[in-house]
Amino acid sequence: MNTNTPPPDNRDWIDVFRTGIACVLLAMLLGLWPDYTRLFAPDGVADHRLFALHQPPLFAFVPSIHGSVWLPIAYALLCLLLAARVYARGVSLALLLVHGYLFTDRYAAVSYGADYIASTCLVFSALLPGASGANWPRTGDYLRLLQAYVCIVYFFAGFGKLLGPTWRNGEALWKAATQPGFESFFKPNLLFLGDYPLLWVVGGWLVMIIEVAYAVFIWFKATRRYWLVATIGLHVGIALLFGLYSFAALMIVLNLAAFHYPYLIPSVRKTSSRIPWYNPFRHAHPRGETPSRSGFPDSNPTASDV
Amino acid sequence: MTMRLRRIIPAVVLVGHLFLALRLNCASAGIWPCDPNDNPMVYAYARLVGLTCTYGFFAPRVASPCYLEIGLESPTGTDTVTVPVHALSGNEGRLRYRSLSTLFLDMAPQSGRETVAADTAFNKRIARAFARSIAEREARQAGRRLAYLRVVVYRHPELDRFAENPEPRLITLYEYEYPAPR
Repeated sequence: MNTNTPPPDNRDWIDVFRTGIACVLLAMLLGLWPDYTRLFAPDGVADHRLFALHQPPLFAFVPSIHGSVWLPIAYALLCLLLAARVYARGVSLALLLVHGYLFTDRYAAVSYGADYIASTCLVFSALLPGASGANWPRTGDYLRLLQAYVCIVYFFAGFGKLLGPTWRNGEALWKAATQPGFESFFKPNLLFLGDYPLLWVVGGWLVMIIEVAYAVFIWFKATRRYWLVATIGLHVGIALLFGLYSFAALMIVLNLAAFHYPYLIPSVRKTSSRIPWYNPFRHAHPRGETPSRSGFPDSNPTASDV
Repeated sequence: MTMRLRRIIPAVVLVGHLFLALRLNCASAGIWPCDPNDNPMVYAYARLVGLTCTYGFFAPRVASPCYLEIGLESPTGTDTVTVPVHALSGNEGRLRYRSLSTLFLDMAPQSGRETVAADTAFNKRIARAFARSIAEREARQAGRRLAYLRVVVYRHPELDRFAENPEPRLITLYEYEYPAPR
């Protein structure tokens, strides 16, 4: 099913990427909604002037409107527009600015990894060809850049772990899985496994191998599928054990958009597109162009067929 | 703008973005150090697009081990509670609060340093100010007088000694006692 060179007419991955990112960010915002004012309002968890001292804001010239209900509403609306891929590039840029203002600028102290990965995803979304870019045939160049980005993320995630002793001796994985601090709906008590240190050493090495070697094995047809499954499995584990749902979902979207959807060959996409619920990410057809029945121009009946 | 330029400019920006991601991650890994003050504009861009956090997730630490405990006075004595007193209702909120508590690690003694860098001293003061601000707001919300605050580090039982000593340890990083009203 996979090929080493993505089919050049395949733009599904761009739609998957944009819609996926938008849905994850919207879900993240909805999850934060009950605690939004407690964390971000001036009378919230800590004096908001301390946040500005901790990290001088980039948006210092913008009047502080944190805690205002309009900011998350605007954020949610932009997410919905991006999910529907309406003015995708402009909306991505606007969402990047609102996301930065809300999470990674003044209030960086209450942000975490998912916020930073989301910012870079929005940069990609703002620069990838839009729906009207159907006449941009070389989406492959952009795909290579997104793939390179995903490889950089995984390589340095694994390399950082390799540098210190805690992942190599299993201590970090043991702490991550058993120490209090991460809550999720699925959090088994794994303390009893402390009597088997070898298990944690093997687990720690497995995580490092998956991450560091991702940048190599994801490119080969023979290993891509296995590496993709292992990586997605790793993120499902992170979501279940640590409750990092948004982070895991974001990384899964990135993986699917960069290394799964681009390699689906036309016949598979054709088959899947007959089932509307299976392939909801159709292209918006430029005005004046009649969409083909299956969504692919080459399947239009020609005069000679008739 | 010609179609050619419309194609080239985004690709060039993305290539620059990837190079910056590589550069900052190398610096973070200690391979090719860089000072953000050398290029404030580039650093501001990196902050906006989320490249300053770098990608060493869960390395070397896996989660903030710091907790803020406060003593709240009541007619029967002083109750010690862990902040936030009224738990945050969502998982996203709790994750972000845990992230905030990572600040308290700046209070930990910097072992192996003969002189403490100025930014470390500043970070220490900011961390203390955060601890006091959070504690005072929690007490005000509870409608009770604040007797003291304490920042503790939770030390999980070590894997190689778990069989001998499965008990966690708590190390106090900072303590402040509020004077009783006259």
